[in-house]
Amino acid sequence: MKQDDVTITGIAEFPQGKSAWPSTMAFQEKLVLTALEDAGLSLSDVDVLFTVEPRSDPYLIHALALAERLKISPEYCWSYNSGGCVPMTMLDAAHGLLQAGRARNAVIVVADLPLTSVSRDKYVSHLAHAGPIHPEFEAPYDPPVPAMFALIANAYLQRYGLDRNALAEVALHNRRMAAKHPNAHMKKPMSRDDYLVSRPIAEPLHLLDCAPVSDGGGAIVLSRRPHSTNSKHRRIKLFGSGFSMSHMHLSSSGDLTEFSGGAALKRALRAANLEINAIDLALIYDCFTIAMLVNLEDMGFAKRGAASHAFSDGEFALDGSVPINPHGGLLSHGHPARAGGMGNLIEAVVQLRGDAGDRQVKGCAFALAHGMGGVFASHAASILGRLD
Amino acid sequence: MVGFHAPTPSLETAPFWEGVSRRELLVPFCPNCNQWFWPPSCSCVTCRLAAELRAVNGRGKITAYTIVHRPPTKTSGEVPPYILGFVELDVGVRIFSTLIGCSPNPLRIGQSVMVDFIEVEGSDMFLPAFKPIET
Repeated sequence: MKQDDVTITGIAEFPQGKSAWPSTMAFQEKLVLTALEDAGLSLSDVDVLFTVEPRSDPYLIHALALAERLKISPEYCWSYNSGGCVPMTMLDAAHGLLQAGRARNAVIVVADLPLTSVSRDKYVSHLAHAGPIHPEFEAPYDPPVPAMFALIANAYLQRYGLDRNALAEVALHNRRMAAKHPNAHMKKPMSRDDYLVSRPIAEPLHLLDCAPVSDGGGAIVLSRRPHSTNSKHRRIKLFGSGFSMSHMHLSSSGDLTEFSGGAALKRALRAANLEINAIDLALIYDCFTIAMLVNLEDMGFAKRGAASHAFSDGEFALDGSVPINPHGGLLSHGHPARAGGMGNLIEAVVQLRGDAGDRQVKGCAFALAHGMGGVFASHAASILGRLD
Repeated sequence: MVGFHAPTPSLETAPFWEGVSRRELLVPFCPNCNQWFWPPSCSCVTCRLAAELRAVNGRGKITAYTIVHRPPTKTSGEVPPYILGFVELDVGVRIFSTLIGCSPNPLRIGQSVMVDFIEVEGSDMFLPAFKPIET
């Protein structure tokens, strides 16, 4: 089989933010049907269905419940969990099955409705107690998840002699970008003053350093030729994936300002047989402003301590050397709970197809979609590119 | 302190919390590797042989801190901001805890601290906490 036989043939994404879907299942059903239509396929073509268990619809094996709802019986029907790495994990796993000739069409569904189905307070509390916080040695002190990222921000700003204006660069960049995206959750213009005076959550992080809680996510269809001939789009291929992990709980991580995002990217580049300068667009996981700065530096897109300066110098703008997050990132495009990071994958495909309208990155041939699990605990890098 | 919870020890970690209730900070140590580690477990993280809990002097330095204004657990009434952080103990392990008695002393990374123990409201359990000391 030829290298280019497996491609991304369909995608679906709806507006992120407070949704009007009557249930998570109804929402996921519509995503699957829309992505299949985009691919020129129908439900009977699906032999792989991968999902992440949404927080808003807790099943032990969620993929089975979705398949039952769709009245299909795919041979490979599995749910995955790797935190914010899960979109890339599922894409890589589905790609592997298709590339090996074991299946023809895969649908991966990464979508959640945390706003509609649970109260914000309940969600915040749930995250803190089922999240990346040690249940016995950290949770008794009642840290919200932002506090764990705030510790990294505190160490980072101190190490490089910076203040909140460095974090502001990330929040302002993403909000400017989101204004151009029809599906972005947070589009209201943000000024530096708005950022600086937003209320403190866990200092040095304030409200506008934190991604919103959004309903959203999306679906992606992968197909092995000749079963993908009905797709009317440019063919997009996964050229390489890379993964890494360093810890579960921050107490057990090494340095507090350097993590393993670089290792994941290096592995993905090796798999794709590419150098970092081949990447025309980077979609970086930024659940908090500090995550963006540290991840960019770990991956080598900025020198240590200099990522915020690169933002203010325009290096990451649409016409910069490496455009970052033209969709607005998790911070402004949205953070749909367990589906965090799916927006990065979808935007990579939209940009590579050349369908991004006035936020289109010119000449976009290779895009990096990055995901992160826990508090800098694990990383995933998918390098996608176009074949046509 | 408001909002803090009692931990739920396992058989493996109960001896650590018994130490806390005696106002002793115990840290796991492997006599085979001559190594301290964290968090408490009955086997060494390196050689997997049995580890033991040893009392330490309770001194360390702040490596990062945050002032929390919005606790994840809703309680009735306003919860005053509390300070959480990482302390690197003299024996070289990093532990997550709360910082107390910091006002009016300005908080800073590198500040020397000493362990103290605070009672969890509505329980008979204590938690380690750290307060600034002169060096």
